[in-house]
This record gives sequence, C-alpha cells and structure tokens, in this order.
Amino acid sequence: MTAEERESRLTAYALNDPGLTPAARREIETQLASDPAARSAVEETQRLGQLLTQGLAAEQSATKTESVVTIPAAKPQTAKPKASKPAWWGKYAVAAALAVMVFSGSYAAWSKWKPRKEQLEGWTQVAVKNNDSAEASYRSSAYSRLENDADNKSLDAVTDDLKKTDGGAALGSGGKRDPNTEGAVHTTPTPATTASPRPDASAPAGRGPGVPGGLPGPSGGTPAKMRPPGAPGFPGDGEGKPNARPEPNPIGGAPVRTATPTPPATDPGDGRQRSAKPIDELEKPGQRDGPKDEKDVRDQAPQAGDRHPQLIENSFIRVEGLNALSTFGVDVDTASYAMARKYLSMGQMPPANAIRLEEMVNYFPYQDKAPDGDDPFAVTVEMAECPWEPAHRLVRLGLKAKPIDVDKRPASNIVFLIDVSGSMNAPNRLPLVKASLKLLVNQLGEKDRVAMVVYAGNSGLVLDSTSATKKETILNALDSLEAGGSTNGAGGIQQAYDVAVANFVKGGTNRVILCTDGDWNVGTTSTDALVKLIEDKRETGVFLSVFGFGMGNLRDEMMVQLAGKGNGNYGYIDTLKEAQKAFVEQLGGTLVTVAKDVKIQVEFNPAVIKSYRLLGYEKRALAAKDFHDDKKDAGEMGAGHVVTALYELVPVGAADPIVGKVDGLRYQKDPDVKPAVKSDKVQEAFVVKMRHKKPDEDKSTLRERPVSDVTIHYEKASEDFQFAAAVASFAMLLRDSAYKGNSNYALVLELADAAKKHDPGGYRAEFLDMVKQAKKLSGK
Amino acid sequence: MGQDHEWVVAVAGRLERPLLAYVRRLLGDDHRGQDIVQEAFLRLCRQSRADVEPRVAPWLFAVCRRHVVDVLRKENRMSALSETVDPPAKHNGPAETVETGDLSRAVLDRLSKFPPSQQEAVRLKFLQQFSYREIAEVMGLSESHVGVLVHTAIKKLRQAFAEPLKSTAGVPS
Repeated sequence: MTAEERESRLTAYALNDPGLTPAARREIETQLASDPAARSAVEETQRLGQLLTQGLAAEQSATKTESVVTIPAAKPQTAKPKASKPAWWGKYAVAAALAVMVFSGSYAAWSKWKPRKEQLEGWTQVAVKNNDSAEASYRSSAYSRLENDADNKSLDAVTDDLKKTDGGAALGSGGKRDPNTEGAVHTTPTPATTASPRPDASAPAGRGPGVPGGLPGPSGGTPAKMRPPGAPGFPGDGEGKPNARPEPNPIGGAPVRTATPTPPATDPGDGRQRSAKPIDELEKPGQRDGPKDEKDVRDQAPQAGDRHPQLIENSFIRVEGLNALSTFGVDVDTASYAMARKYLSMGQMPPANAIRLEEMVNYFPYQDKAPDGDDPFAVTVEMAECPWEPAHRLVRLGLKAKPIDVDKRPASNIVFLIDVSGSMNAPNRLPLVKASLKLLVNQLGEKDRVAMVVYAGNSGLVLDSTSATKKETILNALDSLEAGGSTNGAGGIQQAYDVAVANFVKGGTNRVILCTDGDWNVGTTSTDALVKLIEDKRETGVFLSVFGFGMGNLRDEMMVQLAGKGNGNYGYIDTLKEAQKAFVEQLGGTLVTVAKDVKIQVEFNPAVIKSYRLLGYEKRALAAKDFHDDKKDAGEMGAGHVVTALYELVPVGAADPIVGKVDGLRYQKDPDVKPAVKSDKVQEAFVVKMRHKKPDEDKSTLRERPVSDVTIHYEKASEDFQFAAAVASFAMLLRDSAYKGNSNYALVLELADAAKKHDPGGYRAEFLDMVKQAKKLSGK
Repeated sequence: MGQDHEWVVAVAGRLERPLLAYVRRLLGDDHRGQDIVQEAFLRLCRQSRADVEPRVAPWLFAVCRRHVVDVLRKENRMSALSETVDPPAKHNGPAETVETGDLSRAVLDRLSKFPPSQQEAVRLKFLQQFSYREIAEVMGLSESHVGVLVHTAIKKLRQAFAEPLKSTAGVPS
C-alpha cells in the first residue's frame, strides 16, 4: 500500500465510511494510538467534514428551488417493462387511456376526502397538469422508453439509439423547444376554460407543510395522465380511498408552494413531440416566475412541518393569598436552544412556539458550586436589577446536581430505540443518529450493556443486550441500520422498555434512549395515548431520554411530553458537536439521574415584592398543592446538570406591570392592605423551597432557603447571572414576548459579552454568533 | 399499494430538492433539471419498491446523472462534467451556519475551484451523506476511485485551511 493509499484510507476512516473493513478499521486505530499526526489529520478531516456538511446544506437551502416533481397517483404493482418496445408501448397507451376514463368518474369521491394531518407530513406536492389522454399515452411511452433503455443499454447505446430515431433531437432537450414550449415548462397550469378549475396560485393558500399545493385540480381525469401506464384500476386512489393521496392540511399557515406542472418536456425525441402542442396551448406563458418566489417548505423551511407545542408565557402574578406561591418542576431539556440554532443557521427566525425560555437558558454550563457530601444538589440564589426593566429585580435560582466521575458511573443498561422510518433517511437524521450513538458507545465500558431496538412499520430487536466491551458488535449493528418505511413509534417504545426491564440493573442506570424525528404515523400516534404508555412504563424504573433529529416534520410537542412524563430529558441534536455535548461531555447528566421529581416552590413576601413572573417553565407548572404531593411527577436532574430558573420581580413601590384592570373584591379584604408581617422577616423578599427524591425512592426531601432583598446593578452580578439574563432576554426577543421590556439585541450582546470568560466548550461564544445572526435576520 | 404511492411521494418529499440542486449543478441549466428529476421519479414509480428501497437515494441520483450525461453528450458539452467549466457556485442568502459561517463559506469557495469530479464526489459525500460505495454507484466509478477523489479534495482543503481547522477544532476528544 502506497503512502497515498494509506492517507486515503485514513480519510475514509475519518469520514466514517462504512466501506472500510473492520480489519482496516482496527489497523487504523492502532496507527492512531501511536501517531499524533494521523490523529490530527483525522480530527481536521472530521472538522472539515462538519464545515462542508453545514456549508453545503446552507448553500443548498439558500438556493431557491421550486418543486417540480409530479408523482403518478398510483404505482403499478409489478410493472417491469422488459417486453419488446412495440408490445409495451401499445399496452401502456391503452392502459393509460383507460386510467383516464376510470379517474374521470372518481374525482368527485376523491375531492370529498377528509384531510388527515398525519398523512401530510413529508408529502411533497402532487402536481398535475392536464387532462389530455393523448398526452397520457405520450408520457407513458416517453418514460417507459427511457426506463427500458436505461435498464438495458449502456448510456452510449441509448444516446446513439436516440440519434438514430429522432434525427438528433436531444433527450430531454428543453433547449430545443420553441419559446412557447419553453414558457410552458414552468407555467402554472391555467384552465383552458373556466369551467374546469385547476390548482392555481391561490388554491393552496393556507395549506400546510409539504402539502401538495398542486393537488390535482377538479378537472376530471387530470391525474390520470400522470399515472404510470398499466396501473389497472389503481385501487386506493381512483376509488377515492383516503390513504392514497395527500390532502390539504387544514391547519396551514405555512408558506404556500404553488404547483409547477410537469412539463411535457422530457421528450425522448421519438418524433412524438408534436403531440404536446395542443397541451402547450392550454398553458399561459408568463407565469413562470410565480412559483419561484414561494418558499420551499421542507427541511429548508422547517417550521412548516415541525409541530411545536402552543406556549402561553407565564404572566406577572400579584403576590397575594396563595398566589404568593410559585410552584414548578425543574427541567433539564435543552432541545429548544439547539432547534433555534438550527433555524437560525438555515437563515430563518425560529417560530415563537419553538422557543422555550428555560430550555434555552439551561442549555449552557454554569459555574454553580457542586454540592458537598451526599447532597444530590446545591442551590445558588442571586438577585440584581433586571437588565431589561431597571425598576424590576431579576432573580436567578441555580440548582447544581452532583457531578459524577465518569469511571464511578454505576453500571448501565441502555436500550437504543432508533427510528428507522423512511423520514429518517436524510443526512441530518439517521446518519447523524448513528454517528451520535457511536460517540456514546465509545464512552461505555465493561459495566455497561447496550441493546438496540429499531422501529419503522414494525419494531424489531436489532441487538440484544450486549456488553459494551463488545464495541465492534454494537458499532456494526449501528452501521447496519437503514431507513425506510412508515413509523410505528408506540410499538418500538413498548419493545424497548421490555428489553430494558429484562436486563434491569438494580441501583444502576436503566434508560431507553429514543432517537427520532418524531414523525410517527403508524400505531398509537395520538400524543395522549403515547404519553399514557410512557407514564405506565415509568413505573418500571426505566428512564427515558428523547433525542430529536432533523427538521421539517419534527413533533416537538410530543417529544417534550414524552420526555417529561417518562422521567427523562429531551435534547435536540442538530450537529455532531451537539451529540458530543450530550453523549460525551455531559454523559453523566444524560445517563445518571441523581434526583428525581425535583420541585421548586417560591413564596414571595408581599411586603417587599408586589408581583412576580417566572420566566419559562410553562410546561412544568405545578399547583401549589402539588409541591408536597409525592405522587406528582416533576423533573429529573442528571449528574452535573445545572438548572436555572429566573424570576422577574416587581418590588413594592414600582409601577405595576399587570395589564388589565381587575375589580376590587367585594367580599375579601382589599389586597392593597398589606398583611401584618413579622418585623424580623421584613428584609426577606422570598423563600425558596425545594423537594426532590433519590432516583430509586418514592419519598421526597424538603429544604428551604430564605433570601433577602438586595438591589445591585446587574453589571455587578455574577457572570452566570448576566449570561442567563442574556439568554432569557434573547429568548423573549425571539418570541417577541410581551414581557421583553427594553430587551434588544444590543443588550443581549452586551450581557453575554461580559459573561463569556468562563466558557468551556465554547457554547457562550457560539451564543454570541447566534444572537448576531438573529439580529441580522430580524433586521433590528 | 397506496403505501407504495405514499412511499414514492415521501421519497420525493425528501429527495426532490437535493436532486434538483444536484442536477442543476451538473447541468448549469435551470429548467431541464426539473424535467430530469421528474423523469427519475417517474422511473421510480415503475420500480419494485423492494428492489430500490434500500438504496433509493443513490439510485435516484444515478438515474438523474445518467440522464444529465445524455443531455450533455447531445450538446457536446461533456466538458462541463469533466474538467474545464465550473458550474456556477451559488451561495447567496443569509443561510450560512452560525458557528462557522465564514469559514465554511471560504471552504466552499475553495472547493468550487476544484475539478468537477472532485466537487461532485465531495458534494455527494457531505451534502447527501453518501458512502463511497453509494457515490461510486451514482458516478459510475469504482469505490476506490471515489475514495481518491474525496481524499484528494479533502487533503487540498485541509492544507488550505490548516490554521483555522486547528484553531476551531473545538470538539474535545
């Protein structure tokens, strides 16, 4: 092997090409162990790979592309045109003509289908152009010809063949058509007569993601021409079965994509070009630019198909009666931040509902002191002037869970539950899942066991629980995964939990790690039913981590709930770097739970604080009485996790931000009459109470911490305080929150810039870049 | 059967845009790209799903590429695919990535100066995340040839960006 070949192989290794044999892999790994130059070559190559992946993806998404593909309505079951040309051509022409007839009669039924939202995810448009059965047969022959030729001949042969038969007309020779034809190629179809309405630019307005903007218009027979020839009867479609065709999403609000019809263009040049003429006359040239201005709605315009939970922000609450108590469960999810980053990196402002303030704030490592002794967590409280509303105070509560040494991690029983449905077949989905889980597997040792369950249409055990010492077996199993098919999330969850229970390690980590784009369309798909399933499974003592991948059909809201109810955490993995954070740097937090059902209750003193607002944690809100109720589920904290909660407080004497006048109470005391407060408590602004359970216990422990009222300028506050404030302010800007006060990008940058000294992992620096990007995009 | 149709539509949803971008880059021509992609999907409809499904992405790319080659051959501009002409590199718009925007743009600029076959292999590798084997299938080359193309490009880029790559290698190992 030459030096060049060796280098080339190293590149393949760095890029994790599956073509490398295990033997070659081992050989390279041996080399890496002793060769720092090779190691850095691998690192640089990987880094370069990331840059290329990101850069190329961004470049592609920046290029406007209107959709053009028209999918025939049904697929012939066994069509394999191997017959000689004359025979198959005649057959298809007849079949296609028949198809037109059948379809004409069934349009009415079809148009009545009720939309089913689930089916729409991931659909592309089905654009259909006209109802000319002559063209149907023409097209049939056109592409059958193409296919047949390509199947059976070399390209040169095809080319030569075409030269002979069509006197030199190019295959797919758009360039040789006359200008009218050219125009028609991109023209949104226009009805020949008004009596035959068609999909036009206005028709699909308000339709949702991936929606077939160009659903076949109500001109009978239209789709039939698009059918592949020889599709006898096309059941499930021509007969109006609802599952055969995408339908408009009634929810919509997404950018509309207008159908661009398929041109009659890819003319195989067999002298039939003329047959397209009458069709062209139906087109109205000059509309070709219309669709180009439309935004594409798939991965590149992710909010179109992503489903984020509705989120109504916490409001200011007046400190009176039981309202003086603010109660919530902690939350260590970070998905929202990574999602926002992904949106911004694609040149878009994230949708407001994708922004969960606490997940943004909690994404970052903070410097809070770790607890001493056996304490599972330590609490930091800090109060200063509120940066975006100087008359208010901002409080940062920081809970730091006990970190754990990687080598002291208890034995673990991990089940990967991997979505391998068709929708995962995208570069930033299954391949990224594989790469991410490999990072994790490489962290595991002899005490750890890994099993692997995949789910698509059916779920299946790919790898039974295997000791992590058999890394190669596990990595090979990961490598072998391929995406395809529909998605039965519920079946997979059930099986994964079964495997986890069967291999339960008492006192260890028992966790299902779910990797999915959440686009579940088979089996139990209602969020409620899945959540119920997860809640039942929680009783087994198995914890759940949910990792979201991909965009465009991300069921964010479902993942939030699954992780919340399944004693778990939810992260969004958009890059390998993010996987590195979740599976390597913060592996302890991801795997080892040190406290569960961690609840916080803060009681405010009305003598000092007039009203308060909890920033974020809307999804974790608890009733005051739930605080002491050990049956009420709340958030888990993994080893080393830091949870930050922010309160904005209105001190007595400041203007009341509560909008909306409420009448004074007739039967109760005027709330402005302050209750008598014991003199020694006057200085206390609030008291923080926390409850938590050890991971394997059902009884919770209570602790309290009173906090005095202090006011310092925020610039004097700690870096963590300023940074958390910056992130919160940014989140409110992204949401365009009613509570953003004087927040602006300059303030966010100022706060974050002052607080980026302690920045292991470079996350804070990255945040600054992200803010700048948002500033640029929003034009503010 | 409805399932299969759904499948094709789902595949189109996923791959149509990448295919269009790919074809247009090869062809440097806006509208015939659409025809070619359309044809590829029509062909997909005719395939037995079981045959194609495991490798549907490379299959579609390969079909499109063969078609492009035909078109170019017809017009005697094979050169566009071989050595001389560089297809226009488009990176307009603000969609650069946040962390690494400028660097990745510089890398892409450099990449656009490479021979087309290297560019194509690199794009298939990193944009489509194809394996060498899949790239080989698409480009009609041997797997080892693909390995050389990717490696040559990567090596040149690594040399050109040695410093920034070192300094930004922020991922601890």
